Amino acid sequence: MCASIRSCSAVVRATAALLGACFLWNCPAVADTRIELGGGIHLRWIAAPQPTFVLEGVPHPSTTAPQAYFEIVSRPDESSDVRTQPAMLGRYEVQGNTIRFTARYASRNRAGYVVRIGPALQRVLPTGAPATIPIEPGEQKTAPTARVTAVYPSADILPENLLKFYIHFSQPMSRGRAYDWIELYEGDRKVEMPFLELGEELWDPQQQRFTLFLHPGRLKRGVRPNEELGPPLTAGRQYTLRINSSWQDANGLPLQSGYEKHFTVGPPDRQQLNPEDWKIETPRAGTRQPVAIVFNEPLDHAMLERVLVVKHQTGNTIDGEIQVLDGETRWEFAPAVPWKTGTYFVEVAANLEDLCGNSIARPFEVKLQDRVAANPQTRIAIEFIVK
Amino acid sequence: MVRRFCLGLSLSALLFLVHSPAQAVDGFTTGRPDLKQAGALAFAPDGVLLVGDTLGAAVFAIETGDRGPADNTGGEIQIAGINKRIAALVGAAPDDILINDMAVNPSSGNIYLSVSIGRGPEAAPAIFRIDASGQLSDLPLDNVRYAKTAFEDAPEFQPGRRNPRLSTITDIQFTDGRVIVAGLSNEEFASKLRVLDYPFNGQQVATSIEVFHGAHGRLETHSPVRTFITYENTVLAAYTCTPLVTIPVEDLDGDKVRGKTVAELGNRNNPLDMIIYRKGDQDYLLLTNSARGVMKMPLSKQQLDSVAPITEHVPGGGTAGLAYETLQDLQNVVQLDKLDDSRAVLLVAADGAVDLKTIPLP
Repeated sequence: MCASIRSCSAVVRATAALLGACFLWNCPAVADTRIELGGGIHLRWIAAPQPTFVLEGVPHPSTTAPQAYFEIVSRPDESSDVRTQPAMLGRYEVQGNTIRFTARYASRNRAGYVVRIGPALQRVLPTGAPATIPIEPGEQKTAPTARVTAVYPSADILPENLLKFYIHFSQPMSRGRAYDWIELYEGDRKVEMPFLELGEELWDPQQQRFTLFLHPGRLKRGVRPNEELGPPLTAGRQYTLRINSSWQDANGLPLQSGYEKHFTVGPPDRQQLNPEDWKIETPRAGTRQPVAIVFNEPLDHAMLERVLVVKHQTGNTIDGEIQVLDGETRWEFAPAVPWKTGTYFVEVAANLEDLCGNSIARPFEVKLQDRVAANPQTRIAIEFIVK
Repeated sequence: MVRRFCLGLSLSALLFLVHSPAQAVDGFTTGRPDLKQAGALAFAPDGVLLVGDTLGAAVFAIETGDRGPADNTGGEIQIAGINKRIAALVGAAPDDILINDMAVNPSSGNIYLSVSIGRGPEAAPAIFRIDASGQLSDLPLDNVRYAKTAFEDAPEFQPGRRNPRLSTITDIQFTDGRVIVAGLSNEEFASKLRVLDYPFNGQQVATSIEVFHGAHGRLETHSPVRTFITYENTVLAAYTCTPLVTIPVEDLDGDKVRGKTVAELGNRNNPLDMIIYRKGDQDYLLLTNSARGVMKMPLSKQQLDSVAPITEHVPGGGTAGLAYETLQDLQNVVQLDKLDDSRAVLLVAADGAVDLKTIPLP
């Protein structure tokens, strides 16, 4: 930390000296940086939670034009002029001989700031004080830590009319360029436009699970993308879903490594789900053995974790944990407390889908004459008795 | 084995209908809205900005105080690198600025942008506006008059369990005292248009839309609306799988509705945004598109009513239904809105830079 601005290097490195006493406005003590400007005036930079700059020791500061003392500029790139770049948005407060600027938006600033000394401050600083003071952020984490933890469906053989993948990450990821980092290859040939690219991108709230739809226009028979480009996947061929390591996490760091999912494509599946084809495995009373449902095909991983619930015949929901196993063909529910004897139900939402968007309610594509076959229920219930 | 397979837990109509009070309803109040993400935008009367919040599963109505009158003296507006300009104002790297949507306040002609500052889940929401002179400023949200309505969404099982399902709001429109919202789930592949009463009173109706798609007498029920606009009491919706479909607004009452396919927009077409404008005696639809330039389509109520629905597939890349031309000189247009009777405003994104510019309506 420099003792005065004359001995300070041009760039102040904010390596976070901890000031123990932060008495202004009763703010909490946080890591901050203090820059001596001379003449008993100094500037403090507090990085978080809101970037805050506090000018202390100013004799009789004006309360009407505090921005005439200093402005904060987000450090521009080489093509911009710091003298003309607009100042950051924020709020000034003047109290005693202190002027405080709090940025309006809490943002991750990787480039740093420039303090632009205004004419009111120039007048009270010693002669020769600089017009601008650059501030660099401290050292930032540079080692990648994020990785792909799973891709669903997990099976090695997937249907020709597969509707979507789920890509799971070990930590929150960045939004906005997902489709730049995902490619589908058939052997060495890159498949052209296989995905539905949505600017909004489909993430979970934590941004750790990305939903990747195959382009529905290429899956649906009779629409132009399907007619002109064909389906993205062809039965009997082998494919690789490639996830590029350049995909950035929420801190702007790349993945530890890329990820590849290799799979072979099987015939299309256009059948509506039929719960009569499932098997249920019943637990014993007094144990925490799971109740299990074995499906006759893999089902949607995300929906298996969300749309099945276990209830006692009284209607009370049973608390417990779900596991999705065996390539999404097995669903298990272990209760938090041992089963009591009695009658229970697994309630299943009728919108539960397989890998191709066929649900209990209806198949992905419905023939006009088959509309009556659509299941009109919102939920079905599968009974089991614990003895 | 499945011991018993029970049916009849609910009424069949409920499969396609959600009709109930919102989870949380506020009248207009003053303070800081708990906006988690500023997404799709539209304007209600009196300068009220409607903001879709996907993370919060809600729509906010925010009084901007911007009631006009319109200033048409500014001429052409050009802001190169508007993402960089916003970055400078908020103290972020240009790469950390995501512009989610754009809407013009018809009362004033000012342009509004919804922005995420940061790309991670903790990104901060912000609203910016550009006036007729091209001046960029933000709309501080710490003390505004606002109302909020939250979505009554799909049935929630097991309260407290982590629920990664989100319904991403892809578009919002205000029409005739109602707010229509298009959404897309990150799990099931569904198509619903929600209609919210405005001012918000907690009433919302979600209607599933079925759409014909050509061949083999098939009917497709699964497809999300990508973007839409209302015209002559009709919703004109562009689907992710390319049909352009009409749905009478009055039919959005919770019962399942079958849309009428009036055009097939072709492959490589990822519809992004659309506007309707009048030039001379003719109305036009302008539809932006990720890969095919901008499509321009003459439009009339009579045409929409009379055009034969596309129920047979069109082989060999041919066209059917309403005719359109593609404006090849408008590329990389990601957002589009009508600025006034003679101009449109565009956001053009290329190589990490986002430019805002106005053009004469084509």
